[in-house]
Amino acid sequence: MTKQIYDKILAEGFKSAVDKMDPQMIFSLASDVISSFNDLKQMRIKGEIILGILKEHEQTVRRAMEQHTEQTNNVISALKMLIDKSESKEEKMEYLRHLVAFGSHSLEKLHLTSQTALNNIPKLPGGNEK
Amino acid sequence: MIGPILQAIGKILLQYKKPIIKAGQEAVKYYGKHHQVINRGIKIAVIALVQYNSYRAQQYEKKLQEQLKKYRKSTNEKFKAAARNILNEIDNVMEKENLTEDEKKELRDILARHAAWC
Repeated sequence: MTKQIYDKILAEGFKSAVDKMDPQMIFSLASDVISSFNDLKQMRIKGEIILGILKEHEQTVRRAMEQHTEQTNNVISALKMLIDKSESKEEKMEYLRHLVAFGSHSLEKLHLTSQTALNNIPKLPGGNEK
Repeated sequence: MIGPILQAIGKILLQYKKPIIKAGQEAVKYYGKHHQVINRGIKIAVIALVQYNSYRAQQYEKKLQEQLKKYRKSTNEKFKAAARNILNEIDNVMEKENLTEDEKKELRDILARHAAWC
């Protein structure tokens, strides 16, 4: 077999093989593959963003809680001192009433803060992480 | 660095030129004869890859959801612990005083509405 005939057969073979390929199918398959990789990449980017927000949220919660605890402890200490120094039972009872009223107010504020903090936790679109 | 590698590959290709051409020709012939099956195989492979990527995305999303759920729970617990600390502090102050049961009840009733949360 001469080289020309050999090359001709090979070229025809290639042509016939290429003719049997479906460009629409190849395009569609390639598009599906690229799209699936992009979806995966987008999900990871979204995840990174959410984790960043979560870190910030955690710091905010910690700071809010520290401030609340510090302020509450200061007031409780002050009232405790007044209770200790009270001279009569009535006076003591009055300060104790102030203490529990303040405690109740403080707990209410803390509850509200917790609700705000929980509502501000980032959510994944379509997620049901509650 | 890649130069010598390409050179070596080129050498091997030249060395096995005939068998490679022969194999290529056979492959083309084979594709011509079995193109439908091969195309179907490619389609299946692509579907599998797409499904696998979709599975990986779902797994990642699931992991994130779990992380968020865990974080929500721990944040809630931290707030509850802070609330319990306040109640304990007040309780400690009350315990030190010589209060009657009625007085204790009067004071505790004010805080009772928070019990459901803490």
